Amino acid sequence: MNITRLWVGSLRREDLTLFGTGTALLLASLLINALQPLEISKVVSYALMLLGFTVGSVMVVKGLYRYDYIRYSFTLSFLSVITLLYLFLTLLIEAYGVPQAFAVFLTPLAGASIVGYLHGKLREKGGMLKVGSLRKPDLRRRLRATLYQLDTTMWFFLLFGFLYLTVFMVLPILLVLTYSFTPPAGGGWWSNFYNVLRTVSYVNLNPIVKEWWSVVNLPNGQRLLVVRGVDYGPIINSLIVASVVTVFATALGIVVAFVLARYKFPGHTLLRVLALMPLFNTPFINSFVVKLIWGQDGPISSLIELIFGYKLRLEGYVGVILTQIITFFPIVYLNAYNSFLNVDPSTEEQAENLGAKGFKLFRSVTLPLALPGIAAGAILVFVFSLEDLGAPIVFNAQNLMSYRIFRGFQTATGLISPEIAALGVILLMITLVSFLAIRNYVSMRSYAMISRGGRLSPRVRCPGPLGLLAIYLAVFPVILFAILPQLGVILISLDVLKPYPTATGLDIRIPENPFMYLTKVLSDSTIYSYLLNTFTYAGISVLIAVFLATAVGYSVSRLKIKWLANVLDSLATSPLAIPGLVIALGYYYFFYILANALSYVFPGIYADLSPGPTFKTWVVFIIAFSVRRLPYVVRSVFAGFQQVHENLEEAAMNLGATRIKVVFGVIFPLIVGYILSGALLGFIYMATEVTTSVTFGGMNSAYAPMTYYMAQNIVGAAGQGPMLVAAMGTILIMIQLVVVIIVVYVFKQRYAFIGV
Amino acid sequence: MTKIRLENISKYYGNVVAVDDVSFEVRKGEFFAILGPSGCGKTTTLRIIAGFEVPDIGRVYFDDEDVTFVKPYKRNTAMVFQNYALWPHMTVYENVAYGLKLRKKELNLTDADIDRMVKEALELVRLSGLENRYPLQLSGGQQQRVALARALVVRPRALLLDEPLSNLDAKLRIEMREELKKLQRSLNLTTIYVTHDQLEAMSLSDRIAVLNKGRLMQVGTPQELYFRPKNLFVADFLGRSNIYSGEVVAKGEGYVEVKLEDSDLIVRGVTPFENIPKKVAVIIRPEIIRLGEGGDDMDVSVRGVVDFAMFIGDKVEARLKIGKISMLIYLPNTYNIRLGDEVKLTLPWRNIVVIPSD
Ligand SMILES: Nc1ncnc2c1ncn2[C@@H]1O[C@H](COP(=O)(O)OP(=O)(O)O)[C@@H](O)[C@H]1O
Ligand SMILES: [Mg+2]
Repeated sequence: MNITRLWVGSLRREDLTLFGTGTALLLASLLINALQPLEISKVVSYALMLLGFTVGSVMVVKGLYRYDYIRYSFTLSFLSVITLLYLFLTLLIEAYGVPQAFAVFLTPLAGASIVGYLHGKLREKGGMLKVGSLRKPDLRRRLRATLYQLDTTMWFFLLFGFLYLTVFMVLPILLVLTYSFTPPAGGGWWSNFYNVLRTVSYVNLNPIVKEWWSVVNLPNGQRLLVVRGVDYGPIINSLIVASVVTVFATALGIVVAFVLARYKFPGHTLLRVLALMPLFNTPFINSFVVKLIWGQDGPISSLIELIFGYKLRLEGYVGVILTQIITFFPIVYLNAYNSFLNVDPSTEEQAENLGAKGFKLFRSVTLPLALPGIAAGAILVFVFSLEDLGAPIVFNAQNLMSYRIFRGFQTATGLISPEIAALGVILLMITLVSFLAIRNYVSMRSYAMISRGGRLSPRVRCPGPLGLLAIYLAVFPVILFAILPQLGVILISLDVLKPYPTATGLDIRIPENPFMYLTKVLSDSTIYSYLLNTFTYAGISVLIAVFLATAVGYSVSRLKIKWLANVLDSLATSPLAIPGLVIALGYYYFFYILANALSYVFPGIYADLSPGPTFKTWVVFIIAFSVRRLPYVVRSVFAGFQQVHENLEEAAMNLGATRIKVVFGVIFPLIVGYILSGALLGFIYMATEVTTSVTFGGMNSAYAPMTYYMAQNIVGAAGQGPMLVAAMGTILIMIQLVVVIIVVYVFKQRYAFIGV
Repeated sequence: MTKIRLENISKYYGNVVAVDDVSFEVRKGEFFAILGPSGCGKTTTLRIIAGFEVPDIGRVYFDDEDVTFVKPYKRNTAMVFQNYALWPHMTVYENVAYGLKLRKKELNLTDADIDRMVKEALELVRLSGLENRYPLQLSGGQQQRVALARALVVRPRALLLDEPLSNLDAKLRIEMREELKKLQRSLNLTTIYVTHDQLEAMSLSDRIAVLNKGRLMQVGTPQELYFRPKNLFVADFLGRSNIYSGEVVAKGEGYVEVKLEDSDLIVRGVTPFENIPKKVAVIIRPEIIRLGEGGDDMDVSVRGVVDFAMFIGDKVEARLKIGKISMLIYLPNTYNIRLGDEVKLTLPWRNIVVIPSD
């Protein structure tokens, strides 16, 4: 109750009015729902939402509630970002009942924050106009001053960056948009979206099976508890999965990061290394191992049976959720860890001096300062979860947006149906809006970074006996659970663990020839060709990406034309927010059209696969890899450029060096560590790319990368398939391990995902 | 050697006016200082001359050629940055040789030429023997000389120095000041020197431009600025002054008579302005005030009571009460002074400046 007092105690009277209004409206909405049929209560609730929004905005405009309360409170500002996302989504799917009532509750806050934000912006604009009594240069002069900054190199960098990203990212997405508005025969321009948002096969707010678990009586008399989740149709399913994954992965990441950043205890280094392991990407096979461990004959099931008398099996959405939490929490962990290290210890000491202790200290000082980094990690998890294909394919969770789009590729007889394009657009909207909201939130509160200059020896303490107990009994086991998949992959590839359990449990034995599968993967020419494809594509793509990242990173860090720099920066970061499947859809249409056009000029050259002429798929892979993984490379290269004081460049230019000589002769050697780190990280993310690989891989398997092979051989899960896939997974783990070691120990870079 | 002319230069950063309508000319081979408090736009002005920034309004000329929009790498100026901007991954030798290597073709240099010139430059700044060190292995003063050598070795049209001594300790600063002056004399190089330190500016420069809040306050030789300041800012910023407001009561041949505010005192002084308004400020530097009475007929004699005195080594600083006003004077360090003593003074009219009050 101490905690509740803290939370409530920090609310103002004004806050209570705002949320009181929300609560009143919530009750009204629930009451209407109980008394009136759906049609009426839905409409009335919309009216209540409008009312709540109006009340919130009027309160701000009239000065009864100050927008600053939201702006300067990390809880309220974060809450309002989430509120806006929630409202956006509920309106999109026309939710009703309790979810809608909750939306009603949030509307006053939404009104206050939106109107407050705009109000503030307008006043800023007004204030600026008053100051603007300067003698401004005329347009020609300004144009000339702008052009002055753009020497040949800058022009080339800008043109190359913009062209590449426009042609291979913006254009394909615009094509998806165009196709999504191509109506089926007799339909209006909106009909694809109508179908996707309104038909039961996509949004089903009232599913027949409402229990998310069931008990099955097995033939041998045992009882089996099957946990699989409820099916609300792909859109809501995806949103639920992604939200749950984000919340749990974030919480877990914060806890692990906090323990590691602030406490010293025996096993600290071990825990730090272990916590990184889940990050090693082993597409498909990691989900396979989770499924094995949490399956009917797995160790967890046996344990549960021993205690409760039930066998247990995780399936479907629940399996996907569990896998994704395990896979993605290190992203938050890394960001949170770095943020905690960046929190200037003196701010914490100051607060302690004033009497803040324990949880209050954490909530009121440490967490707010670290929150931007954490939020940046959380939003990545949200996007990654939405676009993930590995876990859904392995758990056969077909009613997820990502899986639906994937199936659109497989079942297409002609061109992929526009309805799938519409689903892609909705997926893109969701990720883009969330990403932008969080980005805005993070950049508004980037004060956490200010502490950089401060004393950076973090405060490390020894936990008390209870704390130690918690660390050893809770944190360690959770991390161990999280690395089981990686461990399983290695064990399967070494033939120690059989991928098929026996009725008595997992099948573990001493192998006769532990390297059989690894050898086979590397020597069988068909299988090896997939590996070779992957590394060839990733190698070429990384070169393109490094060059692109240099062009973008340099322009963005040096260009004084701020709006242009911002546009380019956003373009280069946006692949983080664009689900791979949307890119794949876009490339599908893009290369289809391009090939069609080119086939008039070079007949037959591009006739590789159906339907009709299209490009050799290797072109698609190389371009897709370079665009999708660009943000990671850019992040690193950009950080390098930022390290270099501009004077170092100007000194060279001053002595007669043109910009190209400055960049490649003076600056590059200085930041070579950053560039190689970016290239290495880019390479491993490319090598483990799934989405375009599995969607385009099937069109001509001779060109397919290894993740396509992994997808093909994990699904049937018979014979040697899983062992060979595990061998590939082991090879990927090795490569990633080497890369991380080089990046951290040779180049001394922090390995983090602060991406937004 | 190049003549540099700035014509009505303004530079804005958003709503900040960094440089506001500044014009001046730097003559061939001149040592020219830009002086002003921190944030007044000195660095910005220098960067405009080097070509790192384009002015929003106005033009820059090198020898009557308009270079406003000429790229920095084509201007052949050489800048020494406040933070030195040495490339940390290159040795001292490589740092200094960099500019020459870029011009190898253009100037028809052989490797041997470059080697000789680098050695000469390092000798000039007295750094021979440190060729193979990296910048981080050098002291601040040494780094500063490397930056200087790097700039000098390319024989630039103009040398631009941005507070080059500000990061050195006081003693080294004074040594380097002398060295710089000698170096510039021997090379006869047009030099623009940015500083916020008025002593540095006065001791080094042929002429000084004083900036305040982006505006040009006055350009002139150190003597002109010191003895004939045209505004209060310059009078106050260079050296120490007693500044009084007053009203003109009479104008004579080359002099004006001013009655000081809050006092019966009437002083005479000169003015650089032809049409001096009624409301004026009178500037009396402490070191021109003579002890005792006598001198020119036009000089004014006054009596004051010692209110405060301070022995500071080479002199005694004292504050006198003259009626309601207070005046800072310097006394010889042997002078035995007590609070409350009466002192007689003469205010020599030729060294007293009268300017319009702002
Ligand atoms: N790149 C810039 N962006 C915005 N404001 C700047 C920039 N550079 C300088 N300023 C502003 O212009 C003014 C003059 O700066 P500067 O020329 O560096 O002064 P000084 O060198 O005399 O200390 C200052 O108010 C400074 O804040
Ligand atoms: Mg400066």
